[in-house]
Amino acid sequence: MVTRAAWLIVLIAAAAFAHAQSRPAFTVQPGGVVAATLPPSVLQDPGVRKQLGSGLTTTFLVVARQREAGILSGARLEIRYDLWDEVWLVRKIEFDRREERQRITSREALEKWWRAPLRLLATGRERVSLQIDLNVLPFSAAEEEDARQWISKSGGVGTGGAGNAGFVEALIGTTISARPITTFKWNVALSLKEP
Amino acid sequence: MNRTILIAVILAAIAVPLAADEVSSPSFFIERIEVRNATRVSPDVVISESALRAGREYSEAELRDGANRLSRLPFLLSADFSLERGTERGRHVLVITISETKPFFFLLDGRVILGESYIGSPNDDSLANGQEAVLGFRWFVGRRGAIHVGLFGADDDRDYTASYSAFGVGYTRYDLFGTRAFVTLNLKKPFGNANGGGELSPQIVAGIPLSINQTLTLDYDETRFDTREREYFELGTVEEGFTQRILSARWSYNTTNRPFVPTSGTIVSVTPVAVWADRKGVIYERGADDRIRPSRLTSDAKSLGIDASAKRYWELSERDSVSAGVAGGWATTDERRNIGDISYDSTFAVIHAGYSHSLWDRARQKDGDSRFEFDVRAARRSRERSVFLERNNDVLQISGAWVRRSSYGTLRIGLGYAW
Repeated sequence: MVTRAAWLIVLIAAAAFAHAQSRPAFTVQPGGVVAATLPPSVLQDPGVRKQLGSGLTTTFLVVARQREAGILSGARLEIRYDLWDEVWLVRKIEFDRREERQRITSREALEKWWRAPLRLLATGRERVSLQIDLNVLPFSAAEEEDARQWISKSGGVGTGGAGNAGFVEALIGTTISARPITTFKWNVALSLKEP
Repeated sequence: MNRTILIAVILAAIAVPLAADEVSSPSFFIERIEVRNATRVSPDVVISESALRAGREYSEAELRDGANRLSRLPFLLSADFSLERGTERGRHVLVITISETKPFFFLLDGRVILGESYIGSPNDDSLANGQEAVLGFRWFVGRRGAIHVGLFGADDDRDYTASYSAFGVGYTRYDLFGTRAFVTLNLKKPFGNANGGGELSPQIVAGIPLSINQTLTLDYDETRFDTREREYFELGTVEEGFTQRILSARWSYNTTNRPFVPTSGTIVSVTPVAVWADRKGVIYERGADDRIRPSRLTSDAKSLGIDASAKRYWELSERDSVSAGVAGGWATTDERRNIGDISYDSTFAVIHAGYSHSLWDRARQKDGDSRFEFDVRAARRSRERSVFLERNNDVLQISGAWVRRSSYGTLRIGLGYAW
């Protein structure tokens, strides 16, 4: 009987741990910055694992929607395994365009990098309800040059200055060519008040 | 839609200026291309249709376009790209892992539109370039060839061409002279048409890739219907016959993700068309006294026209997709007739929007799709002169359909109403 109870406790704990591992954890940084620690289970997803092993870039687009204000923010991660140097080339772009690049030499170090808080948004609110979408895209999210040029020449949205070019970049990178491998969605309510 | 645009704006905010760096814009020297999981499809055909070549360097964007190009092929359900080490440092093997369709294939557009039926526009509303129904078998022969036999119904819905059903046999040669171009030769025998059966008639189609996303398709389609005699009450025995020759050159820019029911990407096309039609038979015309009378007719018509269309598909989620598009065209026809020559113009303009929802999740969509689609369109068509009356139609149409794509083919059944 005692053994059964112990097993039950272990199973419940394991289930709770697994559940916790499948959701991002959130921290609040100075300035009302909300950062997410993405769950390692994303990297274990069969489709994601397959793409990570393809030698091509895997792009992770994280979009955070503040439900009350309807404000969108986000971040982008890119991972590519260099077949010849046997290193992971990674890139992180956070909500304020802060960019970080690294060469990572082991899978363990990659998972450690993955678990580093990812700054998604800044808010002055005391409570925020967020919907987080994580789209995993094959290939790099950098836009295809000839498509951009073609749209620009055809009088589309890309004829203006740098702002428009960025818009076209994002539009093409996310809607024309990039069909997600998989998508993760989470909802979370955060209190940003000091305890 | 709003959400997609908002997401795009947010992503623009986190985008950084493009730079040729090794993480975000890598290029790979491809020393060899290897196709895996190919059992019926020739690997050489897959490589040819990807528009990629061994011995060249490609960016990820170019590889992605190659993957999308393969995903649009009717004989593949999916094509996944990955890299492996080549023989020397910096060289790579591009591995294309494919999932094939069955050699038996069908394409059936079984949507019924009630009410005003005069809304279609050339190739715009059918599953695949005016093909309403196809039933056939495809064998790959040799390294770069494929033979097909089948039944098909062609209805491009132009004012100045005739629809027909036919039995056809054909051969496609891919990677012609190492150029990535293909040529298809069809021999077809029309049957069961309004114009009667027909004689064996040729069709030649040549596709020339201008870039990974752009293709020029030249099409010569000759259809010779049987000559027959028919009794008319007012005219007695009349010999009827019809032959049409259609020559078109279609330029297309295509970044869509699937061949028949895309959910993302853009497709733009411009198609100049020339049609020669010789007809013998009877024509009904309204006389000066406003009565309609039949006359024996011998007509030699020549039409010149141009069609253009642009469609865009957005994926809102793994199951939901929206689309919008415009199409338009103009043609002029000169008819030399035994009862007096005539000339007339035909024009059309269509604007449409659609929504589709897949019953399958993304993982299952690798094996096909089961999808509901809804479409709303408004069309204006005019033709300066017609047999019975002046036609100038402004039509609205709403339709819903279920589309099933499998390794055997694509089926669309549904219902619509136009007014």
